[in-house]
Amino acid sequence: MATILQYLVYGLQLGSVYALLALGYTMVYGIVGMINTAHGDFLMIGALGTYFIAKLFDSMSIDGTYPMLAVGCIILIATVMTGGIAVGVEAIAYRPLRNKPRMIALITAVGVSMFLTNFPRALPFIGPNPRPFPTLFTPKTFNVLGASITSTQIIMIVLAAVTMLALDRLVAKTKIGAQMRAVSMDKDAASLMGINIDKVISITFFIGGALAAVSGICYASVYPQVEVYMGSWLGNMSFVSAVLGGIGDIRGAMLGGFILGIAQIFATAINSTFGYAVGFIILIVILLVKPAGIMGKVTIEKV
Amino acid sequence: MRILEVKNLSIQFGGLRAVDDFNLSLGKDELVAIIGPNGAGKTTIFNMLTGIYRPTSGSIELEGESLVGLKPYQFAQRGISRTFQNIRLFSNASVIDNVKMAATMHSKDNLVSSLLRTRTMVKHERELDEKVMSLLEPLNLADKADLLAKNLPYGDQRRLELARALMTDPKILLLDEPVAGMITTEIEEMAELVVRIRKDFELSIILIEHHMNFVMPIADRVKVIDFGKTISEGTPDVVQKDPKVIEAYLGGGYQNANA
Amino acid sequence: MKTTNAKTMHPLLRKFGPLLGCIVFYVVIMLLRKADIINGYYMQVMLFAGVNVLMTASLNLVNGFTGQFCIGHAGFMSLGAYGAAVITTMVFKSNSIPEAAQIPVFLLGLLCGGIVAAIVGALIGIPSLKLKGDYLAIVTLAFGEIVRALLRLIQPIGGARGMIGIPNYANFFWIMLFVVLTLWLLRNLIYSSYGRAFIAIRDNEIAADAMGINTTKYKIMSFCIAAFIAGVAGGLYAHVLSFIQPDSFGFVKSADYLVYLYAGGSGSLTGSVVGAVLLTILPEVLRFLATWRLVLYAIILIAVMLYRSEGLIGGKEVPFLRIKRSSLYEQPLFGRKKNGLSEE
Repeated sequence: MATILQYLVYGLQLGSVYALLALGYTMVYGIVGMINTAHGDFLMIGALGTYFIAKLFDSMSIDGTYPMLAVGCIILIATVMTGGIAVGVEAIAYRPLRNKPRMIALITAVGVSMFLTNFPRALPFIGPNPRPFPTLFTPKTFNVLGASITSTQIIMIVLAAVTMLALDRLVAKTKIGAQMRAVSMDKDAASLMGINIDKVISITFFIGGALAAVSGICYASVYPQVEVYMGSWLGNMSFVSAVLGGIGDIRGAMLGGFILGIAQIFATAINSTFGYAVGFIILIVILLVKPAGIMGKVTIEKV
Repeated sequence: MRILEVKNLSIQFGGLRAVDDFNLSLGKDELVAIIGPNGAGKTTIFNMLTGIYRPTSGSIELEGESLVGLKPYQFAQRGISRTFQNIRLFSNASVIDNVKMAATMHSKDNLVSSLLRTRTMVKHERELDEKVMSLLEPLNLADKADLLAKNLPYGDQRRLELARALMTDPKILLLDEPVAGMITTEIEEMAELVVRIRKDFELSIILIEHHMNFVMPIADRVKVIDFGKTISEGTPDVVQKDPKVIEAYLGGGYQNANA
Repeated sequence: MKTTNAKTMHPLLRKFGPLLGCIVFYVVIMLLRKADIINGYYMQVMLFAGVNVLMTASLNLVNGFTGQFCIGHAGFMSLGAYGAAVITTMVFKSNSIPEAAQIPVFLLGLLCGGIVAAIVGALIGIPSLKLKGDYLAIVTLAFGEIVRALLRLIQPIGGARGMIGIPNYANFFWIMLFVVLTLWLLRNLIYSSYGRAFIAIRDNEIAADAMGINTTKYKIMSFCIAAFIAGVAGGLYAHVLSFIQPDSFGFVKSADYLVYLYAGGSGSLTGSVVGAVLLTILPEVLRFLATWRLVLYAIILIAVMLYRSEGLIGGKEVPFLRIKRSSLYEQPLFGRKKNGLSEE
């Protein structure tokens, strides 16, 4: 029982990383209609950026731990920076292709992903080697029914849930949310209604990039190692989460993330390769039963 | 012998009864027009008659064979072909290929002969080319055979849809607003064309249209639909004088159109 | 009438010209190889380019001509690679069979690899091809990753470590033969009622259905043919490299083929050849850049997509890879002159 509970904690921990990343994925898909395969690399940039920014704050650390204020600054700078890079990527590489077939944007995204991975790798001061991630939070361990859970894990899980709720409200209730929904339904009509599409999409990418950075920081806080390749694998898994939940649906993204995280941890306990494949197996089964994902709605093409 | 018998056809989307108790008995070589205001359910009827929507209840019988539950391509293979209100051509293919695509189901070539491009296969292709050209000729599309469909002017695209529908060798042709967006002279040409292909191909035709001066001279019978229900039926003269029709649909519109 | 005569004057040359060209090309390459102007390394790059042409052209059938989105094509390649390698390496122990039997065993292996891939293609395609657009893409992606995971689990074929000691039967002759044969067959297929059905589905699925085309059947057919070719290509790959492992066939490899396809121009066999060959050679040419190689490659790729999003070739075909309707017209007209039945 305690073991199962412990696995559940690990599953939720991994799931919250997937969920945070999947939120950005699903928002970009829902509003712009493209599969941004470079989304996982934003996570890498966030985590790697945090590493270097923390270096700058080195003089403030005491025995490898930072004061709360410094941690706040580090995280803020890293998230804003990643958000900014995401906006830049969209403006340079994706915007000109907005009215082109989707596959074209997908191939460009593959190129962008390749660039985002290999550019820092080629830079002499970054390179391909993994680095230890600084301790931003000193975890306290709690004991619940024989399973241990750390404060970092609790923060991550709560953060994912709160972010999901906030985004859901943002899209449903605010003015920018209404604009996002309008753009997602019909870009041309939205533009005729006086909505600045470029701005709305930039904001979407900024949110997506910032969330990816947050999820990267979360991930690196529990698996404290950062390197340039970390994004592709996590990006793929978060994409699976987003599709599982119903791509384009914010609540679905979080649900999918947690389902995938938990399933993976339990399956890995059986066999590590099975742990890898289980996400895809669940995905295929769900898509065959419910072709638009758990929360997604099937749209009927009008004839 | 009636070629098509449609009885009590109804379809429901959620709580909405888009088409309610639609009946149609189509004779050989008959031309029936379905008219009615926008959103009355006319295209929905066509979508049921071509298998795109499955009716909630009712029956569709083509020469005694029930078609309900079949896939759209099976409707087409049994002899019901159609054009679309919002033109649906194979836009990146040439005009001639668009029409040849509609002959796929008649193809005598199997996978092996196609892969190897055998002499017989080439012969079949040439015969098909000639057949298509002889179809394009009367539709004034022969000299545009090698243009891409998307580069055609609007009127040509409409006629290409017609050519494509004819290529499937239909028994019944469904025309969904064939003159939508056309100017008066084009409408007259299209009316002549419809009459001519009806005669040449010995077709039964069902037609949806708004333009009364297009429908009334060529239709044998008219059915008027409003809110999914049939409100009037008969020869054009009878329908035009039906007060229910005038109230529901024609109103001042028909007079204006005639003026 | 003059043009007609000029065009029909050398029907033999027109028919066998491309074949002659291929033979000359082969002889020239072999002579250069003999003289060691093309060294072993260049030769291997050329062999991989050939395999990549097969992969890209088959992917083109599904994505470019049928308008479906398969993004897990490397999965079929891995099935073919393992299928063929099992036949040549494990069923018939390669070093213990007489030399005369090697080629038949090799061909049998390729055939089996292709068939395995095609069968799995059908199993995947039948339930999932009813999914539209992006969701189909996702299923094929998941399929590729599941195949990879399964291959890692099967210990008799080496598990995650992979298979070694596969005989390197696939020399330049075989690769070239398969490339030319496949392109010829694919061209024939595309310019037949099957190809027209594929293109109809791509351009407007609802209209294709309404014109009596059994869209599901043709989609599965296109998917299976592509899977078969990918399987054969995988078999060839295994017999070029002598070594295969599951992780060589991940999403990265599938993405490579997508890149070759769309950078070259989807919906054009010429585009597949150009894309696959150029982009196989490009990273080798850029090797002097060391770690900056893939950065530049990525920039070139993004630039191609931004400034030539229809691909380098963009839907055009070289004469050998297209078929003109010589029965009625000697030239595509595009408004040049009135050309009808009456002219003949």
